[in-house]
Amino acid sequence: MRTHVSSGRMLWAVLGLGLLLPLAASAQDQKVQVQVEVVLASKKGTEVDPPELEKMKEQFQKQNFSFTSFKRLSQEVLAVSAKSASEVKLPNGANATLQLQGIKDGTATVRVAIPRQPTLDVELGRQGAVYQKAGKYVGGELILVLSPPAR
Amino acid sequence: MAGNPACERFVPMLSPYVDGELSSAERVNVERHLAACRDCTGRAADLRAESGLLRVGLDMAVDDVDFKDFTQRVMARVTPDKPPFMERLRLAVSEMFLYQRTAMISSLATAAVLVLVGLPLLMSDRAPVGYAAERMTVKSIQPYRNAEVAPVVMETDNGGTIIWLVDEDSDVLPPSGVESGERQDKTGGGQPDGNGRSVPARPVPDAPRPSGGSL
Repeated sequence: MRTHVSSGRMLWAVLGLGLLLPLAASAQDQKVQVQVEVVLASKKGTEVDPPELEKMKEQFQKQNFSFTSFKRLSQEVLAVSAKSASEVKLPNGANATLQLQGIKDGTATVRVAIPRQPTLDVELGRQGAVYQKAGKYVGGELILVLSPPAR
Repeated sequence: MAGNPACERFVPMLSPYVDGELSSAERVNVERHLAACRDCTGRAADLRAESGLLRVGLDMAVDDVDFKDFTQRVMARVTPDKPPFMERLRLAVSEMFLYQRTAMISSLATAAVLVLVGLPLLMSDRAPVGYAAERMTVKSIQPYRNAEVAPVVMETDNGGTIIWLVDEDSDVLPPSGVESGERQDKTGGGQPDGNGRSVPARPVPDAPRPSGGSL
């Protein structure tokens, strides 16, 4: 059976699609900024570089970790989107990936995956940080630090 | 000058009469006098001839002038070429400061205060996209496939969360957590075995996943 579609309806459909598609695309292109640091914690020496990591060292010692040295190996602010995972190269050859899961009531949830480590869903907030073990490296442990970007 | 006293009165009126500048009463009086006075009639005729000669001379002078672009030339002088935008802007600003100096200075001062006070306030209150929550929170943790140990979740007193997975490569943890656990006491929920040593915890399949919770 052949159905007749008027040209007027077709025009409205095309216009509707033209309006909705960019909206959908912009929703998918949403990005959030996350500061990602890679810190090497070890028990060799007592170096804390940069000195801002002194607070991190203090927090780890309060949790009974015996690391004495903290060195920041990299720091970057990633634009994390839902479309594709953002990668952070770790010095041990692994790649950490971050992907936006969604934004609900203005709060974004980002999935952090590191090979042979648990996968985290982190809800972003204006304060605090998430420290995740990211594997071994030159006699120490790599720690991935997620925090809000500095303003 | 005329000897006739009446002429002395009418002679000064002859030129205005010829030019049509007299009132009707004066014109009637002058015409009455002209009808009776031959001298003044001659004077009036001379004046008319003089006036005619002047008109002819002026007409000839006007004919020599080219009035083809007269309007354009006059208008060009009235509205000269439009100056460049920056020049007009500079002129407008200088005129504003010249004629409305007080208003301009007070407006600029108000705007500067608003920018200096308002902008930092706006910038400080505006959280980046996705950061509506107060603190970073770990919502869920999924152990990787075939994981034999569950990760440990620790909350720091400054609002941070530490996620630590005890190493699997050593099946027995050292007593003080050296190398694998690094933590000096409890690690990964490990339980002591029969020999008093800690063994890594194994995730229970149906157990709820550890979570950082709200901080």
